[in-house]
Amino acid sequence: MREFYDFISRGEFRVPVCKQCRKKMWPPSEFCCDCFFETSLEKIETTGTLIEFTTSHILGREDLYGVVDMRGIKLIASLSGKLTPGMKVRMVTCGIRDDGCLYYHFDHA
Amino acid sequence: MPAREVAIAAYATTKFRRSSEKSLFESACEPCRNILAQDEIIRNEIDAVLFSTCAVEQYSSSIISEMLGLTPKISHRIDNLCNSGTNAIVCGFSYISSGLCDSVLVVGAEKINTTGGKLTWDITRGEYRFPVHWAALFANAHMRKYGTTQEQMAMVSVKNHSNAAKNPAALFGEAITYDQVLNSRRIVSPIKLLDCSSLCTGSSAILLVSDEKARRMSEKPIWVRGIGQQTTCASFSQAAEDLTSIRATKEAAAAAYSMAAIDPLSIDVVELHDAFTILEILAYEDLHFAKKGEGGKFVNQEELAVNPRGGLLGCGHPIGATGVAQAAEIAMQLDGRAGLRQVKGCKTGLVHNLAAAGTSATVLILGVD
Repeated sequence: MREFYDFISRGEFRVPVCKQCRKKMWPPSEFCCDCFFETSLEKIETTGTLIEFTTSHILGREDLYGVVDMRGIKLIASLSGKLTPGMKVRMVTCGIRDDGCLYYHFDHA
Repeated sequence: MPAREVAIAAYATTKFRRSSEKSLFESACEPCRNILAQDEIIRNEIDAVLFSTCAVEQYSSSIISEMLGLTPKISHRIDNLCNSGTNAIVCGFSYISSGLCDSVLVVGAEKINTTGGKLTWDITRGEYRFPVHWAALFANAHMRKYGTTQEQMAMVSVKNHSNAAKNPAALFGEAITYDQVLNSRRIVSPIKLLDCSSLCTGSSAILLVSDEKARRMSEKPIWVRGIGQQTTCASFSQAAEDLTSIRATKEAAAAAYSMAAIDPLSIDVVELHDAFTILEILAYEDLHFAKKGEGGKFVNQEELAVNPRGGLLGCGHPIGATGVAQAAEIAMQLDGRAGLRQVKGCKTGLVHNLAAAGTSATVLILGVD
């Protein structure tokens, strides 16, 4: 799924969608796990619901983070603002760090 | 019931350490030497050698076989992160149950610097790649929904370190206090340093045999009576349906109880996966020892012996060796040879292990007649 990485490296979050049944594949895949048809990357609405959050105190990784559910696309992201589980949040940035690690950041919707 | 019954005929676990000058292979051979030295006949009858590890070394199981002077029909490694050891036992069970083998040596070994400690392949975790990051989310969710407390989690660590103090193979040889846990360094809220197990170097082995061999070798065979294993997914995104329980554990437990034709009340002794204190609390509920939401209160019960060897918290966590060491402990308990930590009168024991945010889990039920 090199295209997924190409987009996210430019700060664009796109998700593979099955060309036949329209299932969204997450984590990204070049084929659908239901009908095994090819997928193509599409823009999606990057707002979601904050499921749970907490604070990391690990050196170099000291921040608020949590699980966000974007209508079935769940990921762990860094967060900002005053947080409550169940609140609506919006992806404000995403990308790839120098070490190859992907990142996602959400704030209030 | 399986086509052929399968028993644990021998077991051995080495002292778990921060590090060792021994190579991975030398470490793996250590418990095997103890087992093979017990019975000269067995050495010539090993049909399979299964090596559980997350290490990257190639052709490892065959190398270990050669070092031990064994020429098994089947020799391969099993890698499934923290669940590798229990997966290897399930594989060995299947080889014997199917009639393909009569004796299978299952060995697990890991070095502290294993690649299994950090999950770089799961992009749904973003920058939060350490296991403590997902465990903390589960802990927060359980606290929020059911009122589980940091004090209850601390009691898990106190109990398991206290048990480990009676286990010469454990990494940690001393009991710790409740205040030490609560005042230990914050890692990821609400998890503190002493809520976490430590990766370490260690090895463990068990010998699985067919029923005919088991009856020849022992007056009291330790039977593998139930197995449940479930893989629900690999990525955290798929595991995050409910952050207060682990579905793979629940499904594996249901299968294992069904195969053994027993219920949770029949279990006398348990080794369960406690890489973080919250995971022991979740396992109480998912294995049906406690009602949903009451795992925190279950910590102080004294009816069921949980993690008598010290669990992962007290023993350390040499990833590929852990599942094998858990089974070796339950076998030792049922054999009545657990010394200072012996659980009196135990006849049925349970092993629970899991991997990668609970995306796969295994439950084994062992018993003696």
